[in-house]
Order: sequence, then structure tokens, then C-alpha cells
Amino acid sequence: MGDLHLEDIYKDFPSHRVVDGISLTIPQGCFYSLLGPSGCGKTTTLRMIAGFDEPDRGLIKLGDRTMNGLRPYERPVTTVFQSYALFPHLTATENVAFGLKRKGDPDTSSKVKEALDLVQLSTKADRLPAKMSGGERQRTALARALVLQPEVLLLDEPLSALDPKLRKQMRIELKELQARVGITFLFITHDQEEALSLSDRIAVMHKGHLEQIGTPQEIYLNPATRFVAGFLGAVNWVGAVGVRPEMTRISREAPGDGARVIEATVSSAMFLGDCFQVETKTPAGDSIVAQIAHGLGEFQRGERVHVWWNPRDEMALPQ
Amino acid sequence: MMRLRALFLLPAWAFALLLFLGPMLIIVVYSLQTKGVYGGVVEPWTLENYTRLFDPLYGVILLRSFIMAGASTLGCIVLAFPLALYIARSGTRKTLLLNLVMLPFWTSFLVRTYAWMFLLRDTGLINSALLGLGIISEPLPLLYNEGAVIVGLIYGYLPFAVLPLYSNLERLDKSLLEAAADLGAKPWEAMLHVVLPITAPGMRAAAVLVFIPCLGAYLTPDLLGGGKSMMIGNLVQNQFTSARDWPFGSALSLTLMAIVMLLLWALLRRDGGEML
Repeated sequence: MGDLHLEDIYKDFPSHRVVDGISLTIPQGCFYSLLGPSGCGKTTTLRMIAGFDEPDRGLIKLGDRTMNGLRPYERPVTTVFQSYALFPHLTATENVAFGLKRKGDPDTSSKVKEALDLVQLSTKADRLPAKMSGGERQRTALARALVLQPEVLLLDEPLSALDPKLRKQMRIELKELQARVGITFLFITHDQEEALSLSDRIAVMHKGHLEQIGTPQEIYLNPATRFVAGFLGAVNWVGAVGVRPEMTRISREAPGDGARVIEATVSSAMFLGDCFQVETKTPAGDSIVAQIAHGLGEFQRGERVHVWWNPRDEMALPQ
Repeated sequence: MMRLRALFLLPAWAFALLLFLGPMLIIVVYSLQTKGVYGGVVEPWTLENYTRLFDPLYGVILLRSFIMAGASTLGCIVLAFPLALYIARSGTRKTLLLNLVMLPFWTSFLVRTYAWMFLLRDTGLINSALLGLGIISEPLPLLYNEGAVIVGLIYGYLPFAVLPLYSNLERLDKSLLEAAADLGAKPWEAMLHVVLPITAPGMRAAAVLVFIPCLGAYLTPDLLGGGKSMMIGNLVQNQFTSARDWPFGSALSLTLMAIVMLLLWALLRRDGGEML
């Protein structure tokens, strides 16, 4: 047992460098997310931890044991694949039992039953993957990986194949599951909302580099780079300063002292259900979007308004 | 629209009826008649050609045919599986390798079988080489026995085993092998518990595609077996040529066809009709 350390990891593909010097520590028992757009190197990083790929340079350590050079079947790490990779000829029970049988575990049947209970799949235990719904496949894949009690569970975009409603429900279940089993989860995703809502810590990746590591609040409220700021949510950029639309206010009268104010013209106003989204143009040509709650007034296209925010909510990130 | 479709299908139907069903009917009729003195068939109608099939003499030939075809099928699959796996994992060279597998079809089977005779006979390439190297002092009896026939059949029908296995293995999701390794399976365990069960339908297809032509083979046993290890195909051929017993030859070939169809039916039932 122990923390998972990546030390200065590099990986080249024939055409380009995919992972470009990554170092991070994933504390034991943590729900840790690697967040980034597709092609940022996050999946390759996961594959190197699982042992499917070897880094060209750098060390992967679990506690003080070096993982480099160990075959996937020799690592105390299991994976939930993006496509689930369930064995099509085996039932849910047999899929979950697969790893235990390879180890010759004497308690295979009771452990399998327990794992299926854990993911609430006991009633579907005899189904083949082809007869399962997306959610059931996902639960089977989770149970199959968890039943081996790995030191780290790797999850490669496990929710991306589900429909949006189920995705939100599985998100909650995943979080509860992690809290219950206490295993380190390394969650790979390109969905910032998923990462923000699930993780204890998030590492944001971009073009093979780490952009920032922090708690969800830290990286959302205090992004280290413009890329992080923009990837985690919408940003209004005014010179070297960024401010999020939900922190931006609009009023007809000038606000009180202390606020940062720009006079602008409303270019569009949309009702989004939970708020209004008002887009304005400044005389300098910047576009500033504000999301404002109901009851804070309605604005018409072409109207002259004051756009303002609290300087405390600014993200100072020179280009 | 319907009439146009019927019009275009007409040649195919006419072809099938005249040239497929026609000869079949003739064989059925022949098998129920009596042999003429110089070949051909004459009255009276009889079932005797079918009761003769129970003569142990023919039973032995039938049994031998099954054993030889079975052994050849097994040999083909054992050889074809690693080859198909290798081709399926060869990336851009797949097409080239598949074409190499098909290459023998560019020349006639007869010519290729003669080539095997040149390889296997007492003064052939293999024996000359072994004698020349002093490894043996007498030529090995490689030709004119059952072993030679099986080698020839395996050689002839190997591509029929490679292709269905290849198409199965090529479709095999690579992440399944990664999942197996991830869950603690060593490569041989992944092969045994994941690859083999998933490619079983391909293996059954390969078995059928090899077994059926092997069962009816007559050229290979005739040339490489030297007429000493007769298979049903040779028996049928004999009835139509030297024995001049067309009715019995017809009964034999219909029986062979019935056996093959029964086997196919049993296999197709098992795979829910999705085998081929």
C-alpha cells in the first residue's frame, strides 16, 4: 500500500511526444482526476500506470515499489476501460470471477457475490454483456476491477458511454463507492463538471504537460493558466484579467465603490431556465457575458448598461 | 418493380435449376436403377444400391475417409490458428500476407499435387537431401501412404482454415486482451480463456470448410496415396470408371452428401445459424 508516484514521465509516439515530463503524487485513498482535452496524454498516462505501455523515461512507483517493467498482470492495479472490455462469452458473474480464478482464490464465489452486491447487480448476475444495458455493463466492469481489491483503480472515461441522465446518477454512485471501499481512484476524464464534482484532487493536463494540480475549488477559482481557466468554465477576458460569467453583474445604474466597472451595450439576452445569459460588447470590442439570476432585471438588446464585478473574483492571468 | 426484379433474378434461377438441381435429380434416379453391362443404367428400379452400402468393405473406406478428413482438419486448424493470429496482428502487411496464403490458388491443384509427389517420392527432394547429408541410408517411405495423403490434404485446404480464423481474430477487440492481463491473466491464460472461446465460431467454420472437401477428396488420395488408401471420393470415381457401376456410384455420392448435410445442420443449430 502507499501513494502512487509519477516521477518525470516521458512518452513519445512515432509522430509526436504524448507525455512530456509529468510528475505527480496521488495520495492513497484519494479520488484523483486527470482532466484534459482529448489528445492531452491522459489516457497514455493511465496506460503506463496499468502497464499496457512503458514510459520512455521516468519512474512509476507505488509506495516504494517501482512499477516500471512489471507486466500488467503483475501490478496491483486494475482498470475500468472506456469501452468496458467485458468478456462477451462470460456472464456478469464469470466476468467478475475472471481475475480471482487466475489467482486461484479459494473464496472466489463469495467475493464475486459481494462485489455484485456492491454495484447492485446481483439480480443480473447470469446475464451476458450483450443482454445488459449500458449502466449494467459499467457496473459489471467496476465490480470486475474492484473485486481484486487493487491498490489503485484506474478509470478511463468510464461514464462517457452512458446517456446524460444515467451519467449523473453513476457519478453519485461512483463517489459513494469510492468512499466505501477506500481504494485510490484515478479517474481520467475530459468532462470538467465530472472532475469537479467527483474529485478530491484534480490534475489538469494539456499537450502532455501538467498545467495545474489542486482541489476542485482551487483550480476553478484560482486557475494557474489561461488554459485551465478556460477549460474549467467560461471566462470573460478583459486585458490580463479574467472573470467568470456567474461572477459578472449587470445593472442600469452605476454600482457602488470598489467594483470594477465597464460600460457596455447589450448584444443579446437569452433565458436559460435557471438564469439569464446576457452578452454585452464593450467600446474596446471585448465581449463580456454575464449570467444573472431571475429578479435581477431583464435587459434588452441595444441597451446601455454597466458591467461590473468584485475585484476579488478576478483571475489575473497575463497572456 | 417486382417484375423487374423477377426478370433480373431469372438467369440465376434458371442456372440453379438446370445445372444444380438437374444433375442432382439424375443422380437420384440413377441410384435407384440397375447397372448396365457397359456402364449407364437400366431397369429395373431397385434399392439394392443402398443396401450394399452396409457391406463392411465400404464401411472401412467410409471410416478411413472420416479419420483422414478429421486428421487433416485438425492439422489445418492447429497450423492455421497461429498463422491467422500473426496475420491479424501484422498491421499494414495484412493484405500482403493474406494474398500469400491465397497464392497457391493461382495454379491448378493437380499441378501442385504432382509437385508434392516430386517432394515426397524415394528419389524426391526430401529423400535426396537426407541421403546426401548422410542422415539416412535408405529413402524414407514418404509417398503412397496415409501420411502423404493427410499432408497433401492439409496443404490443399489450409487457406480455407486461415481465412475464417483470420476474420474472427481480426475482429477481436484488443482491449479484451488488455483487460485479461489487467485482471492477472498471463498471456497463455488470456489465450486459453479469452481468445479461444471467442474465436470458437471461427474455428467451427474453419473445420466445416476443411472437413467437407477433405471427406470427398479423390485427387489427393489417388496421387499421394497411390490407390492404397482409398477414400469415398476414389470409390465413387471407381464406380463410374473401372467398375462401370453408375447406380452404386450415385448411391454412394448421395449418401456422402446426406452425411455432410447432417453434420452441417448439427453445427448450424449449435451456432444459431450464424456460423458462416
